[in-house]
Amino acid sequence: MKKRLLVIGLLSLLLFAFRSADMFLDIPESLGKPVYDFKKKPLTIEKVELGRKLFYDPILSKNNQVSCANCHSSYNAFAHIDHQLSHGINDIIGTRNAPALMNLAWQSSFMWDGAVNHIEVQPLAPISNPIEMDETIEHVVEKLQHTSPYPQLFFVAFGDSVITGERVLLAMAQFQLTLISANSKYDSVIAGTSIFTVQEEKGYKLFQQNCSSCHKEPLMSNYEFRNNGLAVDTMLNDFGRMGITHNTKDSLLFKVPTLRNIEYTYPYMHDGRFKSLNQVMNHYTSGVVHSRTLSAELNKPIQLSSNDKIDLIAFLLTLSDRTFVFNKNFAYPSPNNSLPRPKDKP
Amino acid sequence: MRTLTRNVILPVVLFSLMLLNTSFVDLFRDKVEFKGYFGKEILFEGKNYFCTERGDSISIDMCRFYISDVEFYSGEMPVAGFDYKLIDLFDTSSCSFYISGYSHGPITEIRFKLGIDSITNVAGVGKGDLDQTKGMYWTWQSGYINMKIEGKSKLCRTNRGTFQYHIGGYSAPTNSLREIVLKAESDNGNFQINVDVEKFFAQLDMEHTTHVMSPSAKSQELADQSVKMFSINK
Repeated sequence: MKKRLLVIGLLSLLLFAFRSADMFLDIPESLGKPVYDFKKKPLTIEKVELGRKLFYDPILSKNNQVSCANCHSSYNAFAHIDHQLSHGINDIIGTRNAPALMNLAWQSSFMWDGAVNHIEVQPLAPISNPIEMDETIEHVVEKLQHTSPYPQLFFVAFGDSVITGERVLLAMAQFQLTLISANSKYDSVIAGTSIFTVQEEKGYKLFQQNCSSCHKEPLMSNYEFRNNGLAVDTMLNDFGRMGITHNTKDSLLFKVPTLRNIEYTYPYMHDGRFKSLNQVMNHYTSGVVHSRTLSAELNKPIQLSSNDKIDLIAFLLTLSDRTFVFNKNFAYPSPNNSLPRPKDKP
Repeated sequence: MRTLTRNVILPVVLFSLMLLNTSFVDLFRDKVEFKGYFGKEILFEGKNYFCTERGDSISIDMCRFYISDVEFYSGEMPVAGFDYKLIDLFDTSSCSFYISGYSHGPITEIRFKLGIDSITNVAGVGKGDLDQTKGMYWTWQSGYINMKIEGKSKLCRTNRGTFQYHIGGYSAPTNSLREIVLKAESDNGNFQINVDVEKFFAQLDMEHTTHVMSPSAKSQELADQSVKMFSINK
């Protein structure tokens, strides 16, 4: 009898040891209800950590030199700074500026033109694009199967060491879903724990009057597609959303980007044409090009004095979230900054 | 205790197992097999088929497609079914499956969709045959490829005469999902679904349409045409 109890005890211990730890992800209520169904596919620490390792691993590219982080740097809210157009494998220059990554669980389409319809399948696009990573998911799976410590990591994350496309993509999605930014000064003002300066307050009013119909609070984007009056770059001839829908009504429409962490995500617009927020202000007051698909809000030019522009920029800087940008759980994985498992907690 | 085990439980268990076994194997287990043809000839990978209507030849290197929402009817009643399967005409192991676990009358109709529906298309990563590594998924624009037909023909003015038709698109106006309903008649419980690739090319202007690789009007035309390939029990 005692022996039997002992065996049962040992077996349950073993089970407990291999049960993957459900992750406690703090989903800020202030951002509203996420699009992603976390209940259906709960995050686990092991999958998130595996996804993070994959995000930073150039094994995803054909020549094993380009990782996701090449164009999505954690210190810049996962944007690609200093390059108007992002560059991929063999330094080939692409056609767009890599968008910043944050609050992805609240978005139902991805990429500047909405070509991708789900966070879990998003990595397929850069992995197989010949000017980004020029690889295939099939070959990535094959490489991972033969690269230590991936079989062990998949074992820990999924209960066995089988590596499939489904598992690679799920792990990568889980890491990216943790990239939540909702801890800026703006957020604490809304929560009532901080107050704007007079200048920021003025800027906030201007923002609400002129910008917030597209850059909708609290996510600072409605994540819809709009033509914001940028002149067509005749070298790129990028017509945005129309390339996906083939509908002329979608000509020159691009996804409205969030303004959160805008301080870190320069240059701006889908082709990175503006280096500074000043240039962005000037575009909206005097640079808007009228065309058939121009967003109705921009039909009349936005009126901003030079003081207004300074105030508006002061407000935009309250959207910077240093706890997001310097979160060590999002940075290059090393033994010193891996996520704590529940049992490691004091 | 031991007597009880020997005299009652064991025989009952064995007898139930036997019953179970019989019912699955002999009574309610029908085989369905997809088989490729080019007109009246059996389809082989890379073989040249003389295309009588065009006076030229076509060879097929790949013919893969998804079937989904597969339902087996007995009269008006659906009696069995499954969600999806990837069929590769040149991989015989993928071409057949068994219908089991149903307990009503003979199967008289087989219904399925050619391709993957919109709900599955926006549901993220897929398992098994829906795994995005199966080569049946567009990476630059999310969505499953419902059907791939690739090969060579001198009719195509392309390098080595290659053609590639990738049919897909899950939302209006480029929804290329098509429904197929086949009256099933079988004496022995085995159904052979013929896939006559020649019918796919019958209306196709191969000189001008050599590559279709995106959700588009062309993709829709080809989807309409591909429905005509399927028939049952030649």
